[in-house]
Amino acid sequence: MKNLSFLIIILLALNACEDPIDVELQESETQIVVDAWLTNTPGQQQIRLTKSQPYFNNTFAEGITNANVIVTNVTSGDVYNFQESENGNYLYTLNPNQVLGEVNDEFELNIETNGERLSATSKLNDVPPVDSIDQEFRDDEVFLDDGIYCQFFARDLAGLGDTYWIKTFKNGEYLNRAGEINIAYDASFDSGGEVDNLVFIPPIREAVNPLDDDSIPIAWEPGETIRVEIHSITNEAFGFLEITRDQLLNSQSGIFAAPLSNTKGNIVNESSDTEVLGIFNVAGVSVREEVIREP
Amino acid sequence: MLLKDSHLKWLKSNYQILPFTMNYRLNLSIFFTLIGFSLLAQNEVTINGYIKDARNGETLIGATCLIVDLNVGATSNEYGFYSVTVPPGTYDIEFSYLGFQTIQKRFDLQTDQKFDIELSEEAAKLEEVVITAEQEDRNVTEVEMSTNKLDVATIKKMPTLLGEVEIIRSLQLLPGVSTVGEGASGFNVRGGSIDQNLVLLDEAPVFNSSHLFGFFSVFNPDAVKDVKLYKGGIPSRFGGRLSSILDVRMKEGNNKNLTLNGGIGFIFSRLSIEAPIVKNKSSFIVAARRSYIDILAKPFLDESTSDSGLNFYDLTLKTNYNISEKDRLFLSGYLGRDNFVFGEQAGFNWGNATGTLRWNHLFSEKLFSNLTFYYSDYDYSINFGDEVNNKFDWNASVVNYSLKPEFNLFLNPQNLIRFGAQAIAYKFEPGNAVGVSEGETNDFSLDNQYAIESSLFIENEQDLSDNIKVNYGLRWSHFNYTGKGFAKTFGESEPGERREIVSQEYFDQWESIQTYNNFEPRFSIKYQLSPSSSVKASYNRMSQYIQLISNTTASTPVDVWTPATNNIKPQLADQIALGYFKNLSDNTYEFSFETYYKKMQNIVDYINAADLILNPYIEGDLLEGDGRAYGLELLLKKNKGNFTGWMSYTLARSERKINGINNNEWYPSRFDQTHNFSFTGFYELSKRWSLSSTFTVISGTPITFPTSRIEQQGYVIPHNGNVDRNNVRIPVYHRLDIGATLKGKQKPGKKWYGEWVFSIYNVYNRRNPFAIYFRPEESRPSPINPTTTEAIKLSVIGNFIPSVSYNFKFN
Repeated sequence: MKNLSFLIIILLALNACEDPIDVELQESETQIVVDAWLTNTPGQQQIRLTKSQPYFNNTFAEGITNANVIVTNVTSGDVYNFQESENGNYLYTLNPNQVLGEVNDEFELNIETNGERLSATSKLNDVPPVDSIDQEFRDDEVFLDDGIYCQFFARDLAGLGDTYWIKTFKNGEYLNRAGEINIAYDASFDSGGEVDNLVFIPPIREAVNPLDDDSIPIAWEPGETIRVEIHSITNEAFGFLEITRDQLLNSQSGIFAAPLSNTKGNIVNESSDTEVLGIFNVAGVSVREEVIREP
Repeated sequence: MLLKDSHLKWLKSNYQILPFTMNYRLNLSIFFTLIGFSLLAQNEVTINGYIKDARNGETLIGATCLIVDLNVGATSNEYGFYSVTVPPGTYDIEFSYLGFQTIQKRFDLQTDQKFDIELSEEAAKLEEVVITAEQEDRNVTEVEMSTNKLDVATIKKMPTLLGEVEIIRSLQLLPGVSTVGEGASGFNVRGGSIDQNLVLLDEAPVFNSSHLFGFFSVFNPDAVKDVKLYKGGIPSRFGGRLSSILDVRMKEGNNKNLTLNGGIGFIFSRLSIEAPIVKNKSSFIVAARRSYIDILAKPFLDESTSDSGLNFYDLTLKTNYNISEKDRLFLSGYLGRDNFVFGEQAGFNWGNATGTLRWNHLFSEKLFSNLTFYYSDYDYSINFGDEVNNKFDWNASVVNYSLKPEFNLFLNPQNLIRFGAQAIAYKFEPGNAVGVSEGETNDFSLDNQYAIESSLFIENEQDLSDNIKVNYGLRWSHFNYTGKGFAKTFGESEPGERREIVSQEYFDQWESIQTYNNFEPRFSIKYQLSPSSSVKASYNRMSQYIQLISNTTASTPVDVWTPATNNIKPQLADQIALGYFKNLSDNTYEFSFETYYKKMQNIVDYINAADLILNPYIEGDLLEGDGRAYGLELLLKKNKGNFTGWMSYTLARSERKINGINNNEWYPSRFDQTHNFSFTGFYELSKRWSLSSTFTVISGTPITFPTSRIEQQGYVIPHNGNVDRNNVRIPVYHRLDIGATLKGKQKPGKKWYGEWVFSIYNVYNRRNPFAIYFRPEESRPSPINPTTTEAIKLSVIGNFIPSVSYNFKFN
């Protein structure tokens, strides 16, 4: 219920204040992070291998080089050998009409680095089409300036437990704020609701508008393009994104913040007990793009 | 640091050698043996009646009736009733109450006698009256320990936040009582969580004691008569929570003449009316408060926001009727609500309602009874969306009804026996939520839950000798988690991971799903070392069958209460406390030193990233483990003179050990505070001016800091590579508040009395930390430049806050 906490926080913000502070953190062992979110689309697929770093180390994460990175479509038997490019990036370029597999194919990721063997599996799930994108001129509302706001329409696939990541692009640029992470469990926020095979609920449909620094939606301008992609993701990947979003937005909850939680990935370390972080997921993707019209 | 650790270790080791694990059977047999002795006495007369305040007819709780010649006596109970049984004879009997004139009167007691007495704050002029200072040494002479009584008149003199007299915030200035931070609702007692306090308003539990999250409490100070907090040595008549009982008693209403009380502050205005209905037989009080930020803000809002706002109000009422000398009825109620409205798009409100009906009946001169029936409800509701086809409505509640007969047998001056029973029926509505999306309706509602909690108790407060006084008792509690609904069974998982549901079975209404019962022995003893000093010890076992589901730093209004189920075991606590009590300079100074150790079982915690809202399988996200809390508490009070006040210091530790958290090692709870010091002072400058001040220093509470950051899909995520919980402490908290009161001129016959209260909260403008958060910079992450991550200190109060309020009284 991120909307709810948002409303509460605004009120507390009237009195509360936030100041940057210097604190000393504990140290911990460096851990391997696997960033392997593949899509079932043609073109370049990328996997990143990096190291965790001290929290206040404000640089890009250090890449892990000289690793062997192989993705296998277990169902079809196809093998994709990823080639190292730079700084821990490993790439595989598919032909313009080639994709990694078909719906329900099982995939396996195998990595060898510095004598450690890592593995992970993922299933390519089906994805519903983006039926439409609605553009609406809205008058001034609480926490909303007047202007054009969008919502997308799509219907959750039949069957419980489908999880999606809805990614929005403005003029081709991915909306990458933590507050813009838009994920759905069936047609709603999380499991347990059993809201199957419905049109996504309004808060999910409407979370395709860019946010400003204060997490307030910004209106679209005529001529801009909006692209909405639905990615089918595994339940593990959904859980990972859910914690990611909650952790990154935790400070917005003020006095109602939850304790720090680590993300939970799906990478298995075959050669030691050392935990490896990150996610391997192969997503089906549906896309719709529109130009914003004059109201 | 060295001092702190060694002290705590000392406390712990002392606890372990104490033979505290008492066998309840042994306890019972002692009980009946002791009572047996007492029954041998014969040929007696009883004097009984009510002790009241002469000014308004309110009964006085804890006033003393002393048979001077025998040096025995009794204390008036929660309804102002006392009873003393002695051999026939002629006696000087003294009635006293702290802050009131003592009255001494000669009685020729040959037969049972009923005698109601009114004590006066003013100097009395009757000839038979002798004025003495008595009762001031209660803290030394009574068997009760680990309890604090707060006087509403004292609370009213303290500096305030925004001019609002605050009962719960005042409690936090006492040893052993703390809060996780400003604005957090509730309070923590001796290392317990906020849901381990039973907050009673005229015997009905109040499930959420706060307005505006935790800034203000729901108690209207004008309607409150008596506030008493039991932190340890809890008598067996109380039960149901592990850590404390906060017993708030409302005024009955002036039964002599019409009185108006009120106040105008920055946030609230309040007004109360009390008056006799039938003089000396029946009276009432109605007290109301309302916030008016919304009304004041209205002219400044534009069209789009004019429907928005927040307000909160509460209404407290009580009436009583003396049916006869032997029967008295009381009816009291509370209704309060917080409303947040965001235009037509969204709304959010929550509140409590309680109602209590009580019947006092005298079965005999010695046997006083009270039958209580109460209703209590907490609920909230949230809605989004103003269209029929796209909206979301959500509400939840906890409702309970209870019947509670209780008897006080004033057997003889040496024995006061209390016994009784209670049954509570609960209905939990953990969430009714209906969403409509493009005209398609979906129901997310969770099943209601039902339970019955019952208990039996007996206790005896006994003078064993001139020096030794004991209170011993036993409580038996029983909990029945019933249908209708599904009893769920969960599978196994790695510790700390979600357990998935494997099966569920349907049960009919009131069909038992799971039962629990517990014997809870209670024992306190006082040994008088000298007329001005004593040592006390106590042991209590408490059980708790319902809990608040909350994993946020401060509890939110949407947190739901949940019963013990077939998957959630009831919580248990064993507490032992030792204390030394000493009064100095003719009771001018009051000193106490207490240590305690509390061991808790089946404490609830949550898996990482637990889903607590509208989750039908929430039991699979809960973890259970052990808790322990120990500490020492010092209190030095000055009661007399122009300068009065107290200093309180607590050294404490509160820890938990939960399988699946912190690598299964002990870790400090979020509200663990090593040192907690406070000073509260009042100074009477002149007849009209008085000053007050409070100063607090509290160790930083522990929170979980990350060690590292990881990158995933461009997001920079905090990560704790050591997987430990509450591993770092936030900076120390300290704050100074000052206040001044200007009293109106008092002239004889003047009906209107007013006073101005000026306060400055957080005088030296410190931004005290509530918590520290870790987050990336607020600007949009760029793929070209690395994300900057930083630590942010959240201060709930960012400035000093001056305020003025005006209180008035019309008599």
